[in-house]
Amino acid sequence: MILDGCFRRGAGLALVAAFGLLSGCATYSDRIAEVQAEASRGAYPAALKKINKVLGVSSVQDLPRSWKGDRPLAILERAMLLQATGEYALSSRDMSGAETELELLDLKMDTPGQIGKYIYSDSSQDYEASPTERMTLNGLNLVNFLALGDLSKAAVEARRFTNMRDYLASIGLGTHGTFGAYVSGFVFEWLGEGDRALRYYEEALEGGNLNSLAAPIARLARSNPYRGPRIEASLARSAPNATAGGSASNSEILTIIALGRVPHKVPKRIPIGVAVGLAGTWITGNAAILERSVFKVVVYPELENSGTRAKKATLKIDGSSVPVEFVSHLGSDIRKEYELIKPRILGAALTRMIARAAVAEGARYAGRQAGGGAGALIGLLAALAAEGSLVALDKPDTRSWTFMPEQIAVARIAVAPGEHQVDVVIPGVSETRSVLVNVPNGGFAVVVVTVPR
Amino acid sequence: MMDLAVSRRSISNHAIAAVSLFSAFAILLGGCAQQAIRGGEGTDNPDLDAPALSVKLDREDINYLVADYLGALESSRFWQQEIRKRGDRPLVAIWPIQNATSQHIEDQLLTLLSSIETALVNTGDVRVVARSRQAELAKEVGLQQTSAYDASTAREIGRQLGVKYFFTGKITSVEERLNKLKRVQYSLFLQVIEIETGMIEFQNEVTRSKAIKG
Repeated sequence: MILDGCFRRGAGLALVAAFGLLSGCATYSDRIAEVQAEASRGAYPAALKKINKVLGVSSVQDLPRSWKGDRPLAILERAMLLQATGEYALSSRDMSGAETELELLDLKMDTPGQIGKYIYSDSSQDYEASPTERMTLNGLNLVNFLALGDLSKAAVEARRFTNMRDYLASIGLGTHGTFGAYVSGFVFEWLGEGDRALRYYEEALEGGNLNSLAAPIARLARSNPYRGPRIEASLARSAPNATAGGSASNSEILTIIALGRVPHKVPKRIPIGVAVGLAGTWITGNAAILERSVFKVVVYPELENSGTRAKKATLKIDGSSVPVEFVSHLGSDIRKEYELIKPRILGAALTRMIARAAVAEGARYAGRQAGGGAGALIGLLAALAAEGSLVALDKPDTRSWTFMPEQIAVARIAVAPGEHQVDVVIPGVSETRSVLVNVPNGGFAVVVVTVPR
Repeated sequence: MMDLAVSRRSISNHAIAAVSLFSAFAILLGGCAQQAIRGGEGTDNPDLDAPALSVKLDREDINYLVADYLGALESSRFWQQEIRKRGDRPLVAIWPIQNATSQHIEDQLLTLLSSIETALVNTGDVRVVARSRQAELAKEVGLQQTSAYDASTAREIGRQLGVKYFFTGKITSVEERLNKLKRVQYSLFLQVIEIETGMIEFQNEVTRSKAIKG
């Protein structure tokens, strides 16, 4: 009897302790909200301080001691803030570090997470990046190396981008990476690998015609044999202006403008009946048990617009306007990706509810057995306590790379060698970036403007 | 008496359970503490360098690649006839090795380069230009010594330094992934180029594969 009492007290204490520990855990979107708020008002150093706090480090020079849980994701957030402040070397260090961790996670069997996700939440697992996030990571890291003027390291990122794209395609998660292909093509064009550059440009054109590629394609096609259907179409379009392909100058400026933030996930409640309809066949277990549950809503991660105000950009080089072309709308890609998996997310949330309801049923039965005359009441209280505690522990997985840009635009222009003034204005947030670049003869300069607001 | 015994036993069990729980926590927390280890020859962990920790190149790989290359080079007809037999200890320089892989192994390639440099100096058959001097000269004459071998730049630097041969190369990789296995196959191509003629006097390919399993 005394032992039983000890166990009961122990179980009760354990439950209270677990509840106390875990109910205090905010979701990822809660923890990152202050970072987003600072970035939205353009206070990037303050945003960096906040993200360092999330990471448990004191400076941007530091990497976290442990990469468990959300840290690879938080490091990716910091990498974008570092890119926004022009700290390209630190940004690339963060992106490469996070990529290594995400890759290791992909490769390993996440056993503790697999067990945890049934009873509690998907957020109990280590974070695994979505295909769009994985594809964009290499493209954005490549940009860091271009900004640093390191073509060799940029080429490594281009190869990594290709490997990731091929791998995703091989497992049926093919996604077009217009931006990654565009910048990869640029790298190999300048490394003198024209044929490879043309193949990347063919991929980049999958998302639609890109005027800024017409001249480079025409130039490369003169001495390289590769012809894909989109390269052919581009050449046909530019044939009447064939001379445009051969600019008087062999120096150029590439401006890359990353604007806004992609939609991110927030916890949302919907009635169980609606969720069952949306989840369809993705529910595991008997949904009928939910009829006895006192909780009639399901909480799941819903995608919400980030309130991006940096939607357009104007570019002037030496005072003259230069057309800016959008090459990627990552916000749309993320939304499409989410809509595809939404039934599965709801199915997982409902499956967890079913597991909790089953625990509650067990508690109800045990209460009835132990309670004598008051068995029904004790059973009900036990069921409520069990299910209530588990609901409190359940956190919807609101994790995603929230600082991934919503849109990416580019501008390419041939210039005379020497110094040039590049001015980028983002009207939505009244932000202006001015850069003086020195373009070598027969070389290039890359200007990167990242505005995560 | 019986009840008291049961009670004592219960208290004792309770105490054991509490101590066990505390010990488990202590072990768990203790497991989080970081511990530095010394490894390599002459230490308690002579095999510390043996396991592969990633798909990048480590010192074991570099030692293997350099040893294979030098073995092939020293037994080649070029080395025997043109270098050793002539005995005039020609001046040679080493051009950076081009990283054409999908891995950021720039630091490893610097180690590789230094290992090749060390091995060449130690043969006693050639004199090797310090790479710092090469870089200085390239800067002085306004040339960019990129990792991709460029014949005209090499000729210019070679003339200024009186170098007869350039040692250069490139490392490539093929990366594949299936389920929980990722494999990277590296191929290191190394050449000896006579600067004046641009002829490849010696070429060697050595391969190494690395994999990581989930």
